[in-house]
Amino acid sequence: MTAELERHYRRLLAAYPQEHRDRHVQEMIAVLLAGAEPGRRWPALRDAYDVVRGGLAIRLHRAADQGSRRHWREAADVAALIAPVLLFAAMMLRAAVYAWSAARPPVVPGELLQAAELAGYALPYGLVALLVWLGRARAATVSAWTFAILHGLESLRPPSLGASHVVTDGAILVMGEPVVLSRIGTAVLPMVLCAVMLHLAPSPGPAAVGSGRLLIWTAALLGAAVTGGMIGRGPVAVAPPLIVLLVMGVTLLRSPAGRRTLLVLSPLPAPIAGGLPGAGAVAQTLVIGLPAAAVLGVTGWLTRTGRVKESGE
Amino acid sequence: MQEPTFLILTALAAGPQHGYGIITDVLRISAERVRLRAGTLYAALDRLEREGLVEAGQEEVVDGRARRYYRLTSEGESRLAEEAERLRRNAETAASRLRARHPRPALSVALPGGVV
Repeated sequence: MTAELERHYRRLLAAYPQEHRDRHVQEMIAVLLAGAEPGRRWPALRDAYDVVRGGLAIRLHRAADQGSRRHWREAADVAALIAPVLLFAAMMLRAAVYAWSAARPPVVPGELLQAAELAGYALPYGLVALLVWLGRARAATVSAWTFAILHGLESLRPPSLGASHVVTDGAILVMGEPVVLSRIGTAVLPMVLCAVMLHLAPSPGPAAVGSGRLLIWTAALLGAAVTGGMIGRGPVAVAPPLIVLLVMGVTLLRSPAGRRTLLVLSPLPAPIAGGLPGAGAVAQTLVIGLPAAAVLGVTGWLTRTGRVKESGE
Repeated sequence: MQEPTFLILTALAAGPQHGYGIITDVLRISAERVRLRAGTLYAALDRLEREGLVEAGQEEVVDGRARRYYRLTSEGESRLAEEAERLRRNAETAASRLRARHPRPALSVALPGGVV
């Protein structure tokens, strides 16, 4: 029975950083077993919670260490560039899917126009990415906020245009559907995320990953997105860019700054995928926005506080 | 300084103790009020060790069970002394103001059994 309880405790201790576990696992097991009432097979819920929470607290402390602050700064820098690139690629994929189906006979000129419009909506993200790449962080930040405001105003506009669809950022609204104030949240969120990431990054740019590698990734991602849009719809269209993303992800996982970059970018997939299917606009904004705020808040704290010994500059 | 931290340092002020020893000692010091759980204790010890207030000794095996003794460093000692002094001053201020609130005859009524 003790062996069983011990096994459960060992599993919970996975919450602790490896180096802490190597040093303290035996004595912690001893303390946990000494504190458990006799005959117990499973850890009490409160003990289990406390063990895991302690591990996470230690991990958080490690994350806030001076050595790792540098990695966080690098991660914030790269994430501020990758975020607009990802959104740009996602929207180009959408435009490509649409263009390809519109180009098949019977060709309706209006549909082609809309494909072009969709591509047009992707351009702001492209521009922000380009500005970051060129080292024009301030210009990129100002542009991101400007576009966010424009997107917001756009989403307020009643759908009384000539076209049969009103296309807003990330969603196609069939004409006649009422445009509600709450939609503003989902409309501006992706651009606001880009803008906030730009604020968090001390000096946005590809430095930590290397501009050569990032250039190859971006080209591959855009190529894959457009190819995907041409070869099919749905899962088929998404497959090529997902493969590129997977390669990017695995590469990032291999370095400390890369792992942190993935974490900083974690709020992005939800708005790219269109959020929760069927959820209302307000719920959508909250479900995506609150975790995003939490992730970016912690990132901000880790990149903007504490002193880091920096050479030069 | 949070209370569990204060109590852990207080437990170690009596001499080096191992993890479970700290838990039982803290329980005693706090009159059964603070029951530290292992996760809380080890997260606190990790932080205190990094701040240089506590030092971990070698792991040893007693009755087939691993244990490691922790002891207060001199820095930990002075931090604990500072904190104890601060708490003492606060408690004194509180007590003297309470005394001023109630004229002498009322004190024994207001605080039956005597608090201090």
